[in-house]
Amino acid sequence: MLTGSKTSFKIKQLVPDFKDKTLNFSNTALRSRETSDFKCLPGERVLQRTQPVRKPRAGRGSSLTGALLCTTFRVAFVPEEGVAKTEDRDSVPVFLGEHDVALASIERVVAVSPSRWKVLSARSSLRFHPEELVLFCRDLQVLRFHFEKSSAESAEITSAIARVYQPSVPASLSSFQRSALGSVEVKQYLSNRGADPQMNWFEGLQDWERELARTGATAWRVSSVNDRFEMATSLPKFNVVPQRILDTELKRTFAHFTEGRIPRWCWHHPEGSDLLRAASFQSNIYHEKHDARNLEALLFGRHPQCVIVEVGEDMPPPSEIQAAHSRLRALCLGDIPASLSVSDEKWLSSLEASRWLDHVRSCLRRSAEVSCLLAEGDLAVVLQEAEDRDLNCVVSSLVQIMSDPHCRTLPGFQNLVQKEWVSAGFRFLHRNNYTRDRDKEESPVFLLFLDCVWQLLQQFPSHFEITEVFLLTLHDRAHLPLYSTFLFNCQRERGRNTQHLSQSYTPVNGWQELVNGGLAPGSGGPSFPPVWDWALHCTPERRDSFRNPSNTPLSPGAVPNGNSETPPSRELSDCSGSGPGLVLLFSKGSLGPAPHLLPWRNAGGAASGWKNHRRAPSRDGLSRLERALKGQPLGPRGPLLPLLLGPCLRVWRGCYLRGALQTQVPPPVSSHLHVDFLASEVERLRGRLALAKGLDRHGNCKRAESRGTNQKPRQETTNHNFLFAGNRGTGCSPERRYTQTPTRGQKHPKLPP
Amino acid sequence: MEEAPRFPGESIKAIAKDVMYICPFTGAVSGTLTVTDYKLYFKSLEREPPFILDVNLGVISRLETIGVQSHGENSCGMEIVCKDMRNPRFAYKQEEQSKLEIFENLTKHAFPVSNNLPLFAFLYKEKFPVDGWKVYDPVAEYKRQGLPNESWTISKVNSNYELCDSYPALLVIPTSIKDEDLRRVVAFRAKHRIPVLSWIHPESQATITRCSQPLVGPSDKRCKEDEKYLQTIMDANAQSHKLTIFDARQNSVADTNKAKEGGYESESFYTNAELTFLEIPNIHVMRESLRKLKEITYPVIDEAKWLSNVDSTHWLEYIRLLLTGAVRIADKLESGKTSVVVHCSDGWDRTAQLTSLAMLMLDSYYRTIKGFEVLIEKEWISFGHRFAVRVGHGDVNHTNSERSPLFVQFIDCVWQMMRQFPAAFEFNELFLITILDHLYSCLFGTFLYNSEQERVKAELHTKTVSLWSYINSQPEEFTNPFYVNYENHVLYPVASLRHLELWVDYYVRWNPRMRPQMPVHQNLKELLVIRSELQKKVDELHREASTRSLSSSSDRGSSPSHSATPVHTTV
Repeated sequence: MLTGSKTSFKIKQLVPDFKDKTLNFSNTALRSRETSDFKCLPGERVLQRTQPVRKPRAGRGSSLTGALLCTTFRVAFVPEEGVAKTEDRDSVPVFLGEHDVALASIERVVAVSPSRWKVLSARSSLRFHPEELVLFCRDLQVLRFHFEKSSAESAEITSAIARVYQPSVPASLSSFQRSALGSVEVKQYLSNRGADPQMNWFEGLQDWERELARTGATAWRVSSVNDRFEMATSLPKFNVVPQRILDTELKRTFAHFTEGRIPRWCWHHPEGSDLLRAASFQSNIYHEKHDARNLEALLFGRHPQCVIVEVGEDMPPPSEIQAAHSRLRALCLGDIPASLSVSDEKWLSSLEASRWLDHVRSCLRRSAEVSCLLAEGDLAVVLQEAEDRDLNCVVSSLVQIMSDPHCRTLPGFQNLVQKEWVSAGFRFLHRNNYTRDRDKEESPVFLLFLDCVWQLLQQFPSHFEITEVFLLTLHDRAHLPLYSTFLFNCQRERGRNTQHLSQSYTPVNGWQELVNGGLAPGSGGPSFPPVWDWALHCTPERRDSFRNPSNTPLSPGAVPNGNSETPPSRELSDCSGSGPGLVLLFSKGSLGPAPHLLPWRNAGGAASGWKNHRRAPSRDGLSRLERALKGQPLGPRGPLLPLLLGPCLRVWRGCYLRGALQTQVPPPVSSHLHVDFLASEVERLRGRLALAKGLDRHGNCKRAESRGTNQKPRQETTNHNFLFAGNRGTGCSPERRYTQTPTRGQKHPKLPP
Repeated sequence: MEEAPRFPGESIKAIAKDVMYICPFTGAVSGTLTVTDYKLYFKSLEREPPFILDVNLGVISRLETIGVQSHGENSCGMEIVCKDMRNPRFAYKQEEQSKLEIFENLTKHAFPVSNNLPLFAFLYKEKFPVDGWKVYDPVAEYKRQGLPNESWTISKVNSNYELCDSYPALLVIPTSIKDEDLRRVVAFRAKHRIPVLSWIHPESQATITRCSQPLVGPSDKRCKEDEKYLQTIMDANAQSHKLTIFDARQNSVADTNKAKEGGYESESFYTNAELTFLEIPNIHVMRESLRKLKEITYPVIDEAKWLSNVDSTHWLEYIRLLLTGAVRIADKLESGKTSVVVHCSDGWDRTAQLTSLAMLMLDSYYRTIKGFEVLIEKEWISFGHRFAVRVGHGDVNHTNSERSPLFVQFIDCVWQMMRQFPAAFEFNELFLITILDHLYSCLFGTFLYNSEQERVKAELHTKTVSLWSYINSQPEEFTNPFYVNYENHVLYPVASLRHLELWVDYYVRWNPRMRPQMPVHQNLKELLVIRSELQKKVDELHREASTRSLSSSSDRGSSPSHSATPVHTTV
């Protein structure tokens, strides 16, 4: 934290207090340091430790036995058998092991004895020796630990956890952050992290140009008119606008939109359409003639038609999303202590009454409609929302996931979140409400988005490279105030808090810039890594299951909606030029011409100056768009259009029902893991085949060769259908899953080494 | 126009042109309707690709004439109410002779039993390379379980079905039981369904025995021989000095039964026995529940009220009750090492559901394709689940209150388990759906008749084809590629409503908007094929390499044979 900021002032006051607290536990801390099975982060201290403790595991009756630790950063559980990996002993350990929970995710600490239970806070005293400790977490996990013997020790560690987790105190937040990221070692380590070449942070000029090139958008350019955040504080420094608008013209448009959030380019459809997003028009402003011209140019790009989609219409406002999530949460976890045996009755009706799935459906429906529009030709589709900072993020990113296979890959998805959420100024800090002081603004819009993605993943499992485990991990990490991704409301804030020395922007990789910023001499606060640096906070086993090995290969030259019989007519494209294009409003599932929508067109005379030689709105064009909207089969290359009927939307059990205290719940065997398994086996068999062929060649060269040619066609067909390590292409992260045979062997002992 | 495809033995009975199918999803479509003695086949060339509707006659529950106004001259309508959750409707011109003829034929062949015609299974002439009637051999199955042993014997006492006409010829009963005592037990149990062994735990020797309710009656009748019989069952298991009796019924219903001759074991007379009611409602409640489920799934689904509508059918609640009961039984055997006796009223409905589900949880053999077939043949077919009555094969009387979808409910429970343990079953969802389709179809003899005695009399095994012949001739279609043989693993599914799901792929499958979007199974099947091909290739090459190296030299002989060990992994 920068000195002088309000929060850091509080920290300084409170830190001594915190130190006193840790002193009380110095003895146990010393004792635990000696054990080798648990590795502290450099800035972390163990406060309390007890063993043996049993952690119930999936499957009836089975549980892990081990040690329970409370540190300044987390509650850790170290199982006796299967001690953690020793591979990266020398580097900084993974922040969170599979059995660990960060203090900041804990929402409630409950001590349970056979006769009673108690919710503990920092000040409450525990007058009995608990037999069981239950931790309710913000990410909807519920962790239970059984003490082998309820003793003073079990009471001590329970109280210790209750004392340090303090959910709503900013000071505990920053001490939490410090214990993870504040040490010199971690800072050093972070500064040495290499940049992931596949990551596009959407921070620099080149980042946006890369995206323009990737999508094949030509009529657009990157404008740096906002590079000091003078035009719009919540917008990124660089914004993509039509090529034909000059920066001087552009500057005049900001005032016409709420918060200066002008229509900006997001994505280009291979068929020609472009996706834009904008805040609502400022209607109380006088529209000059040439302003109107610029505004229209901004909306239309080079397209003859522009469809404005009122994203907020019939969609839940953030407050309702929050309310629905609370209802869902109460339903899934139940009230404490009722949750120890949540009633099953009327589960489906209550689920329906939470309306969470309705909201998921409306996001998916709106996004599917927009995807269909985009697939149908030569349009500018503008997503408009009052502030352009909530549902626009959801819809624009869902549209891209449905329409652009790249966004379904792991790097593609991460880039998408960077583009449409992080850089676009989604108010992560306020919506996440880490410090519990902005309850009115709290809203799990991002989690709603993740649920929508999960629904798509359920319906199109082989179209995604990312897996449920990935989404789940992202879901959980979003509750941790540790990542630059989630700690700020916009690029400006993010940059200010990770200030680097030079004032001018250097278009280097944004990530390194962040790190350097954190290490700037004199700044004592921690530097926050982005959540995408998974190696830092996830075990390799978990990272292994982020990718689905068998998703359909990406074909870069794919033509979405390639309908060979009736090629999309181009009748509307000929009315290019500078005339006012056809403005259509997309509302209640249908399209209608809506010139009045643009405030300047109403302002008498403004538009009358146009040479109006274009023809009247073409009914044909309109009906074609309407046809597209009905979601008729769009061919194999069309967008993924989810089924939205009641039975098709499901509750994300793997996420929301993890906490339901069922000891019988079988392990979340996602079928991806199985495909993974199968795929790796095929891979291994290939290897053995190669080996065998080698042997064969020794004996009989001729036959081996003829075999080789026989083999070929099949391998080719295989490559078409499945993405194996061998043909994943070079676009993969350096850690290829299939090369990590040791971990695989451990995971599946049935496989011969 | 080409004729409808036919099975060997199937003959066309009537053809009518210009019949209109009123599709609830895509609108009316005109085409040709063919009725054979097995199916109703509608084909329309109005659409591309041609629209085809193929409904086997066995699935028809009733035919109803309906009024259709909005379809022009096609003023007559017929609704075909099916047992498998759909009701296709047709419209046609009233006066035409061909139309009258076709619906006459439909009525006749849809209900052959009521019209003194043979069921189609007796006309079906397809030949399969595998004989499914050989799948279940009771002696082999009991041998697999380690029977007979010193406590249990395979008895031929019912070989003429004289002891109990709804039981199979071979029964496993306690060795020490005397014939005259057995006669008394027979008289004391409803429908003469005495306690017989269904399954024995390979380690603890704890057993699942099944029977019907004791005929206690309002006067609290006792039968010393029955009490002794249960004591013998308990004594056969040295691990426990208790015996648990699971009565599947609701306690109140059991009391009602007691008022009229039936009843339940009194804990004071049956020492060391504990009686538990599983509180499962009767067949009428289940039939009503499925009827409601059909109402909310076909043809229109209310999107906004979908979940509360599913709730209101209570279907999942009953699935939960069944699974809970089966888990308790399995747990009693596995953890409690205690033998259990399961019964309901007659011991052929809920009892079959519970014992077969518990056996599926306890014994991984039943989770293989072959094992599951054996399970159905044994616990359902041979022990006299009254399939003919419960399904109403070929019977026009659709209001018969004896009809009930109990077997569907059982398969649903299996599907729920499959969802919770995706790798534990050798078969896939298609296998279960195929079984349910042929529960109604009357194409195979498997589910026909009510008891083994009736089947023997009808010479079913020689005159009809078994469903397992069809399935086992192409097992790859029905194989789960992720199957791992969790041997000795007991599966305890979570029987909580939040972990149960409506089996949409079965109940809502006629809605075209519900079709799965991704042929994942296709991909997986391809993976399996690639794997087996590669495996074969590896084996082959290793064999060649090792034989060559053996003949040529011995210095590098060890390495090929070492790597030639076949890869035995399963997924």
